[in-house]
Amino acid sequence: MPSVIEILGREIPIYGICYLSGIILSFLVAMLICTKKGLPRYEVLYSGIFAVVGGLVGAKLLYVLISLKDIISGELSLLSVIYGGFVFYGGFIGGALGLLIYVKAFKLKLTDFTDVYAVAIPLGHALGRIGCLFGGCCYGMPYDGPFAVTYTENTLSNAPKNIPLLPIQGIEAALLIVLFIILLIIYFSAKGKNTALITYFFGYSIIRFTLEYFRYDAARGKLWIFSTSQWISIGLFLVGILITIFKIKTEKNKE
Amino acid sequence: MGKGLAITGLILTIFGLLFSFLSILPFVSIVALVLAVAGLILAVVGGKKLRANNLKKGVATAGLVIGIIAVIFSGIGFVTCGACQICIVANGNEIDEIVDYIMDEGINEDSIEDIMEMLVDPESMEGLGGMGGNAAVGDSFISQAPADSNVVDGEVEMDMSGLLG
Repeated sequence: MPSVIEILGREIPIYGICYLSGIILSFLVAMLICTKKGLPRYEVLYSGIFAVVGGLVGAKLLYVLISLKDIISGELSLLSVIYGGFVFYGGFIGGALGLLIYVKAFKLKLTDFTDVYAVAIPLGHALGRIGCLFGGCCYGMPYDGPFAVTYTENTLSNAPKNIPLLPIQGIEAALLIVLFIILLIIYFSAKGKNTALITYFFGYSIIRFTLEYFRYDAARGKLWIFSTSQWISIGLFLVGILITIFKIKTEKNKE
Repeated sequence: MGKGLAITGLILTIFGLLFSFLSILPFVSIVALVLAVAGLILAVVGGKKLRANNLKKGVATAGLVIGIIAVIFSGIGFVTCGACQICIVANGNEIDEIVDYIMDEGINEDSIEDIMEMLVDPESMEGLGGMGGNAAVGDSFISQAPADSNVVDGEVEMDMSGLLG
């Protein structure tokens, strides 16, 4: 798998290009669909900037946190971790906090934004996962079948070299695109707020929890019987339940 | 207040963009990224305040546009030059070790084998994690290992120009 692309004589990781493209694509989708819910485009742009900044900080912080053991033992240098990878869930939490800060600072309603973001995120995330596939920073279990990917010695990947692996990031990207389509349908057809958000929470937490069992990089972070990401998926699922209960109660009170 | 924030944001994003072109220098990409992000946030906050007071938002919009470009450029610098810097630091440490060894042991028939092993030791690329370093830089370092040597008066003369680049 090639991990870099040469542009104007400089080698640029495909991982970075895909993540950047994913963020831009999510922005575009959000700005296209937001007016349906009465949200001005500039609010999506401004809040998106806060969310992206929060997301980048959160993704990096979580990566540093799960690499702490290796940094302390000397297996990884702090420099390589700072310049190294990101964790999506850290980005998700950081992004949510960034959005919350924006909404609170300008006295806006969070629920005006949540469905728009819930629809936009999976598409950008899918593109990011394709970047992960090229980068090999996270990877699937050994697998010798159709669509297996092999990382060779001259790539930047952390993955075991010259071993065919399950293209887990490609599988996750495909499932995220399916989730995006479902969310888009719900966004344009469902009445009321947070339906798309709840669907996203349930959908992605199930996808991620399940796919974690097929990853081969569990050493990145594990607590007791589950990986870090599986615990976060459980948390996300529970948050989905809470929002559902809150939504049902709110709608009952309105009646 | 809004205009002040927007102007400050614009200035920071301009500096962020300028610094992003200097990302080849150690850690400058981090400085560029921080400036660009800080400027972008100030431009957003300034823009919101100007919009709330129905004032012209040109400065804030300029800060926003330059800030987005600065974040992208400094992000690219962070990712590309950062990977090189990991390798340079790692390889720099390796070169220090080799030079120290040569200073202690000299270059002779006994030490030449150890020096050659150190030059081609793939462990210089391991333990970097994350991005894993830039393989191209590592390869060129290894390929600069001296290939020609002459035995003169029982000692091996080595062409060190490749090592010193």
